[in-house]
Amino acid sequence: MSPNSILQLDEKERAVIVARLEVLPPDIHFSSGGPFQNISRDEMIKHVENGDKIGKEYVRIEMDFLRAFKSGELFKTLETLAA
Amino acid sequence: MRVVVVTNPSDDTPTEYLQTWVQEVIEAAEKLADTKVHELKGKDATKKNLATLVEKVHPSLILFNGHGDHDCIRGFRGEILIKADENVALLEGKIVHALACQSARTLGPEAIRIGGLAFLGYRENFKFHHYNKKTATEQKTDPLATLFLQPAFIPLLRLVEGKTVEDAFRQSQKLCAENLRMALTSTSTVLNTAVASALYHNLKHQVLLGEKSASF
Repeated sequence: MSPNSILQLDEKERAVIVARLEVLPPDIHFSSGGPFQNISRDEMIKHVENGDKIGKEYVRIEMDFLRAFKSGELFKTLETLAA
Repeated sequence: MRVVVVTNPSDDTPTEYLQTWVQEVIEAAEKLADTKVHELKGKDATKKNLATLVEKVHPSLILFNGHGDHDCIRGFRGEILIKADENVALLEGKIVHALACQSARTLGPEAIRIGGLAFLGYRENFKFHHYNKKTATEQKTDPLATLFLQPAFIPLLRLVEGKTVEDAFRQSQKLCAENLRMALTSTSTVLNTAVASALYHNLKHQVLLGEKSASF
């Protein structure tokens, strides 16, 4: 994949995740990572749009989930735990 | 006498939620005649206090609640309480539950290598979403936070009762999976997007290291 394609993919992923964030209620907060990370929906949208460390991590986790959903890995995991 | 040490820096909203949710475990342990609980709370959650307390009371179970990194767990205002290449020896012979991001990646394996009994924690950041509530009552009934913190804390009740760490780990995974299934099939946008992805992340990265049959 060329550097340009990677850049475009990165932008597309960010756009998908921002769209997923925009449908959430504004009072939802996200907590994790280092001290004093208590991030509102609108702050998280900015992090994702800016492509900073917090935004990149959020995109990675969301994309991991969407890929696992598509590949069936998510349901395999759930089946294993139901056994 | 069985001894539990709990760290609760409780210096920001996420760690306040953790403190609220671990109270049920503390109360259950305190009701047991043969169990004593020592809590390092707020500004008392320091590296020095942890070392002094562990050396004095010899806990067999330590419940860390706080922020973390791959090689450490933090206390009040980000002070490092325990670090893989500094004072990990404090965990020798102990069962550890670490609700602290990433700490099962380097600190956990190192704790087991030096003789820790078991380490239950997360290899990546522990994610939880909530409605930014301020009182303990609101935090305990926050419907979003409950989906994340109930699978993390309720299994500790079994651990305190004397069940094995494997039993607690399996219950935690099962509760998380149940909440994930509910989120996936929900018509609520919050649940079937942000909550589902974060629950899957926690489920995938929670690990049990060390002796599975260890019990408190």
